[in-house]
Amino acid sequence: MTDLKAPESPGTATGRATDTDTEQVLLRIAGEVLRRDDVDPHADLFDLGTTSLDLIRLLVRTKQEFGVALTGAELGDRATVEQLAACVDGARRNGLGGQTR
Amino acid sequence: MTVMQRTQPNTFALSEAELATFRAQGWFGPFKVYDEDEIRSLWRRERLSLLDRSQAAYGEEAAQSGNTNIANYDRHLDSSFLADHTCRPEIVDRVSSALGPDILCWRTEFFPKYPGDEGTDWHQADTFANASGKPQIVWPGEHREFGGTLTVWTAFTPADQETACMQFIPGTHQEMFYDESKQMSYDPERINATEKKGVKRGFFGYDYRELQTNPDWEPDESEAVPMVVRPGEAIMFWSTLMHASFPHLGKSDEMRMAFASRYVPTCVRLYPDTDRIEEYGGSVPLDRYGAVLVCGSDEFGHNRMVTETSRGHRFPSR
Repeated sequence: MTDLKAPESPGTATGRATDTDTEQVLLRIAGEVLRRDDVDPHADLFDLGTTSLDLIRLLVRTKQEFGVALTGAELGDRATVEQLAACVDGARRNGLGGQTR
Repeated sequence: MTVMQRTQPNTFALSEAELATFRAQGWFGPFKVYDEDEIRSLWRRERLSLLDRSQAAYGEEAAQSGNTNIANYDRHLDSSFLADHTCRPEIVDRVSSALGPDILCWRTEFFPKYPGDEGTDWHQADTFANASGKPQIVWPGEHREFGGTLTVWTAFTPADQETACMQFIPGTHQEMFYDESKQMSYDPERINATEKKGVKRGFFGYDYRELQTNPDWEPDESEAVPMVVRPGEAIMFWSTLMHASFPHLGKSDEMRMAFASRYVPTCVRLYPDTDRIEEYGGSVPLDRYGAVLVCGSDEFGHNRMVTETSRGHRFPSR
């Protein structure tokens, strides 16, 4: 899974640095992986009862969708869809992502 | 053979009174290892870092199934945070004051309990042959009456009677009610599916009652003590102490995470006559395994040892 080095997490305390399309796609994927339709982009996924295995599945689907391979560490201490989207967008801006499906 | 000298004082050693209590009841604690805010912050970051198994001692073969406990084994061999944790003075000094000056850590395990998960069966472990059928730790003949390991169970999240805290039956560490040479049958379909005396319990796909020396015996749960802990607190106990956990009742969404580190003196042989761990539905080679000398010196040379993680982080031994 870890065949690409992701950039520093660009998450910030103020303002948003994410492409909302990325976030929307990831919300859909997260809903499918976690089998729920109420995933809040700002919610801690672990607080929603997500297991480590679920998170790994989410990262695998992220790679399939965006061509960006993340280990999880890039999220820092924020296991949110918003943070994941920021990491994906950051990697793609740095030329580390593939075509979306 | 690795020889290390103790370089720092035994700051957190148990007092004589604490040792007496520990020897009588079979455990010591809870005691503080981290401030609560500190461990919450550390764990929030570490739980994401741990998703990267690329340098883990047991690779994809261990991580394939969510039912395979082996995926949770020995992450201290690749994680710097967990490596440091196993060598924390708050832990090692206490273990050493009970077990002697020359101590190694031979295993660590995560014990997650998600909302709705069953409690863990009552059990004791001596050689840890319980699930695999092969002894994993063997004390030398002159110390055979000891047996078991000292486990330090550290809470990374809160644990109470609704969120799967442990239970102990005091003073039961001197007598084994289970025979680890018997066989348990593995069936992952059992997980979260069985009630025992009105409590949903199991042993990660096994039923530990199958090891009872007397099949008709039942533990006296009226004597059981709940071990409620805050994040950052730990409990040190003999693996031969009767212990279990409550179920996670699912009244909150927060899962319960505990991290266990297991310690023995250097005279103990680890994984004798085997080069694999085969249990809990998984099978992994031990080629990347090593024990960690956390304090003192190893005069025996029985076991393969490591002094740094797979990422080159040196274990901060005492």
